[in-house]
Amino acid sequence: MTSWSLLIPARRSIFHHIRIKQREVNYIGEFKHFDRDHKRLLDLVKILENDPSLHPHRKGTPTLSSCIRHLDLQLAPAASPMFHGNVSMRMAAQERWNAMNAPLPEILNKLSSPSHIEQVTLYLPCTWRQVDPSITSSILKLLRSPSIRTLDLSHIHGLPTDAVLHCPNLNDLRVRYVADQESITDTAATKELHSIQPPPFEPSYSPPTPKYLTTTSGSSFLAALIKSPVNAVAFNNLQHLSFVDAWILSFDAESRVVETAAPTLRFLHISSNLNNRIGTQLS
Amino acid sequence: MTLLDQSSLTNIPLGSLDLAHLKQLRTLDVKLEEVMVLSQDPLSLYSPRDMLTLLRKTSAPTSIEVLHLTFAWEYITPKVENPIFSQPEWDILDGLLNGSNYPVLKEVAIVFQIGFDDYEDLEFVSLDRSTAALSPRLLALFPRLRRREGLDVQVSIKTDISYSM
Repeated sequence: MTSWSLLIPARRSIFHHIRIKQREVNYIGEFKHFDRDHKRLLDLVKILENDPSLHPHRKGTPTLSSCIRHLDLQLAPAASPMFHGNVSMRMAAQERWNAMNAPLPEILNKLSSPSHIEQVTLYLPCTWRQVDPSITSSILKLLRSPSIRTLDLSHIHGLPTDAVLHCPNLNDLRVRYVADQESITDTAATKELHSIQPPPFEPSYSPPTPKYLTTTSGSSFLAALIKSPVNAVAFNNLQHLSFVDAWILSFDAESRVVETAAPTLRFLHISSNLNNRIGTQLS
Repeated sequence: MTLLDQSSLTNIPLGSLDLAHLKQLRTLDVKLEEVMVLSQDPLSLYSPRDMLTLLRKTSAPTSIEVLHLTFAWEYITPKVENPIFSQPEWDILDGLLNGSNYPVLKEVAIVFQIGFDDYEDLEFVSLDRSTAALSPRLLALFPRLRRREGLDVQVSIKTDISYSM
């Protein structure tokens, strides 16, 4: 017989870190594990819905969603690199991806109201504006949670700065291979896919003032964060700054962050691949 | 004309880092990574000249207490181990780190991070032997730093072997 008293600490331990890791798309663009990954999302919806703590008799017991502190979303890429330039194949792949991840908004909405999540890891190797608006909206809604202290965003093409600007208590921002919306070159094909936009959100009241910042090839997103007219991220509280695979001198954005952080900065890491730099220079 | 001026790599615009105004900065951590090919002149391996160029052009605040320098190479053969000790640039780097630019240094960590692929005739025995033999000799590259009182100097090698199945 299991004691009910063990439930709360056990739940807090087991569900502290939730990871949804989807399989890679293969080179001809098939989602090899489409059914499995789709079913896993549906299962998670059921788990959240059937949480015994939601029952009136269990009032006072923390809900399952309130036990989650780190949400780790490692989503599959929408399309194979083989599809580069082939609009119809890319659109078809994106539709399949959207269908596979259709349960995501329900999951994220359940986790957002209210959210106790302190860390979000989001690996989304897609073009943001091609993702179904219900999914992007639910992500943005989650990222506005006051509970979030750490944001780890990677491989997102065209991420709007809203994703970060409205995260009021952000302490640790990690941006890896993320390009902002403006850096995307619009083609006729992408414009067609971009026709539907997620609804805008109300601005938050205070800009985030992170103490830790790590960027990996994230200059364009960093630049967008700095020049954002409303609620720009305040880097004047940074203590720990890491530029990975970026040549600090080449990018105005990095220099401006260093300038802003001058009064508080205690740790500076610069990492550069000399081969990349040489290649850039020659091109 | 200094040795650095003679280096072809100085033609690459490393620019200058003005960090002098970062009065609270305690730790500076720099990692320079380079992918080498086996056909390249082995004399160019293990050279600190890029790091030297960067540090010489850096206006560092005098508050720095911890300095981490990582030299990372990938895909080089482990059998090359001689040229590193004959290059005067290491002596210049030793002098630079020991000079007035870093008056309150408490810790210097220098890491040689070497990534090996599994192609060619890489033998793990020779790899172990190479790295084990290199460690004490790398320490000897920084005599002035090692003599400095109150300074913790760590020089280490990290190897990273990747397997392609």
